[in-house]
Amino acid sequence: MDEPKQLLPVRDLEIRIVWLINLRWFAAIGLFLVLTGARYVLKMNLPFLMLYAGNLILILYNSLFFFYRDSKWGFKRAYFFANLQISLDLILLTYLIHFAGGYENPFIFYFIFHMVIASILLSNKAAYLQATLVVFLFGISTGGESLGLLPHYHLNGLIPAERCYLDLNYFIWIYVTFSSTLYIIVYLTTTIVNKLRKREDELEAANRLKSQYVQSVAHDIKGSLSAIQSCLKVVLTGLTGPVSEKSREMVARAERRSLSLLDFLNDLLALSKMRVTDKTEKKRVLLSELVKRVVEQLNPEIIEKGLIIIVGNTVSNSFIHANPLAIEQLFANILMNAVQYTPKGGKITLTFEELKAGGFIRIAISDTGIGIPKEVLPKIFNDFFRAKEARELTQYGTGLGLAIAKQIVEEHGGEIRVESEEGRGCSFIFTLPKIINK
Amino acid sequence: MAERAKILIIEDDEDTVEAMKITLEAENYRVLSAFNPDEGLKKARDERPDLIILDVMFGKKEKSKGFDYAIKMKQERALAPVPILMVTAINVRRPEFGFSTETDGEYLPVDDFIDKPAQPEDLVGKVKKLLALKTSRWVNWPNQTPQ
Repeated sequence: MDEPKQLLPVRDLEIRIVWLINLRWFAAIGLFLVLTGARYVLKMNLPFLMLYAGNLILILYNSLFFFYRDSKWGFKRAYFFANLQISLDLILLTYLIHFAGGYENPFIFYFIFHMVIASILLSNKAAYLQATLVVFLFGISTGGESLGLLPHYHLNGLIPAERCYLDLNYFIWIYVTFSSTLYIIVYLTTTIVNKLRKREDELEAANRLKSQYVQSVAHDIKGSLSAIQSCLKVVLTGLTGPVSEKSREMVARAERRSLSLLDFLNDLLALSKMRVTDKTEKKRVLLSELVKRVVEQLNPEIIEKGLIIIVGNTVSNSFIHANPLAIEQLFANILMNAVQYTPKGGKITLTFEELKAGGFIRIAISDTGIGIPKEVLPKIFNDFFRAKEARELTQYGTGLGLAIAKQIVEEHGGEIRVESEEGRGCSFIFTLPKIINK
Repeated sequence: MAERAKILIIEDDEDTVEAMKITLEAENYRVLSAFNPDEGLKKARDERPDLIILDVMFGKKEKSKGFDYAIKMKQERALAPVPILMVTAINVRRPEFGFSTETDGEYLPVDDFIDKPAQPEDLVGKVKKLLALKTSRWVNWPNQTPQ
C-alpha cells in the first residue's frame, strides 16, 4: 500500500505545499470574516475569544510554514511537513468546531475536503491515519459534549434551542456516518490517485523506451556516418592524391552534409540520453564564470556580426546547484540562437535576478532579432521544430537546440518560457536553483 | 634522421582506421592497426608502439571496454609509459556523458581524448602533443594519485 511509486514526486509535493500555504491565508481571512459576521451581524453568543485565538493560531503557524518555506526544506522532510500541516489543520478545525456548536456546525463538511487533500498529497497509509486522527478528535470533542463531559456551545441565533439534539443516540448516528464518510472518501480518492499515478509511471516508462530506441538508432547511424565523414575528409585534404576541381566540390558537398547530419545526431543523442537518464551529477557552479566562458566561445560570431552583448552584473557572486556542462550547453544553445537570429549591429542582453521564493535565480536572455511569430510560440520548445522564418534565414539548425535547453532546465527543477514580438526580438526566461549558503 | 614514431590504432571500424592511417602516414608516422582490443593488447606488447589510439567502444553496448583495456595497459610495466589517445564515439563536451577531459578525465587512465569523427588537423595535433610528452602521466596506475 505504501510503495514509493505511489508517492507524489517531491518536487510536486513542494509545489503543492506552497499552494496549501497560500490557500491557508485565504482560509484565515475567511475565518476572520465568518467569526466577525457571526459576532456582529448574527449576534451569536459564542466564546469568540477562543475562536479568534484559533484564527490567530492559524495565522501564526502558517507564517512559520511560510518563512520556513523560503529557506528551503530538506527534500526528505517535505513529506513530514505535508503531514504536519494537514494534521495541524485538522486539529484546528476540530478546535474551532468545538467552540462553535460541535456537530451542529455545518463546517464539519470541511473535514471532507481535507481528506481529499491528504489522499492526494500523502501516502495511502498517512491519509488513513489522518482520517483516523479526525475520527479520534471529533469523537472526543462531540462525544464529550454529548456525554456532558465537555461544555457544548450552542449555535444560538442560527439553530433554535429546541433543535439541539445533544443526546448520545443522535451523536452515535452522526459519528458513525461521519467517520465512515471520511474513510470512504480516503478510499475512493487514494484508489483514483493510485491508478492515475500508475498510469503516469507507465507513460513515463513507454517514453523512456522510445528515447532508448532513438538513442540506439542514432548511435548506430552516427558510427557509420563518422566513418563516411572521415573517409571524405581524407580525400578532401588531398592525402589520397590529386582530385579534379569538380570532384572535389562534390566531395566537399557530401562532407558538409555528413557534418550537419552529425550535428543533428549529436543533438538527438544528447536529448534522448537526458531523457533516459534519471539524474545528472550536480555540483556548485559559479554562474558568472560559466556565462563568461560561453560568451567567449561565441565571441568570433558576435564580433563578426557587430553585436553588442550586455551581461547584467548582479550575477557575479551567485552559485547554482547544477551540472556545469549541461548549463554551459543551455546558455550556448540559447545564445547561439540569439546570435544567429539577430541582424548585424543588434543587441543581446543577459539579466539575472534572485527570486525570493523557492531558492531560484531567474535568467533572461533577450535579443533584438527577428523574433518569433505569436502562432508558433507554443511550439518553440518542441523536438525538431523550426519556425519558417528561421528556416528562411539559415538552412542549418537541427530544431533540437531549444528542446535540449528545456530538458536541461527541467532536469534542474527550473522552468523556461519565451516571450517575443515578431520583428522586435525575443526573450528566453528560465530559472535555475541557487545555492543559498555561500 | 630520427626513427619514425610508431602508432598503434585499436579500433573496430575498418573504414575509420583506414582514414586515420592515411592521415597519420602522410605525417610520416608508422601506423599499425588492430580491429579488436585483445589483438590490440597483443600487438602493443609485441610491437611497443610510441602511442596508442584506442576506441572507447567495441561492438554494441560495450561502452567502457576501451577503458578496461586502457587500465590493463597501464597496469603492465612495459606498456604503462605509452600515452593513450582515446577516440570517443560521443562528444565529450556534451553534458549527458559521464566524463569530460576537463573534470573526470583527470581520473581516467588515458592521456587525451578525441571525438569521433576525428578531424585530421585535430588528430595530428593531439598525436604530436602526446608524442612530445614521450611518457604517459599514468605510469603507476592505479597506485598513483591523480594530480
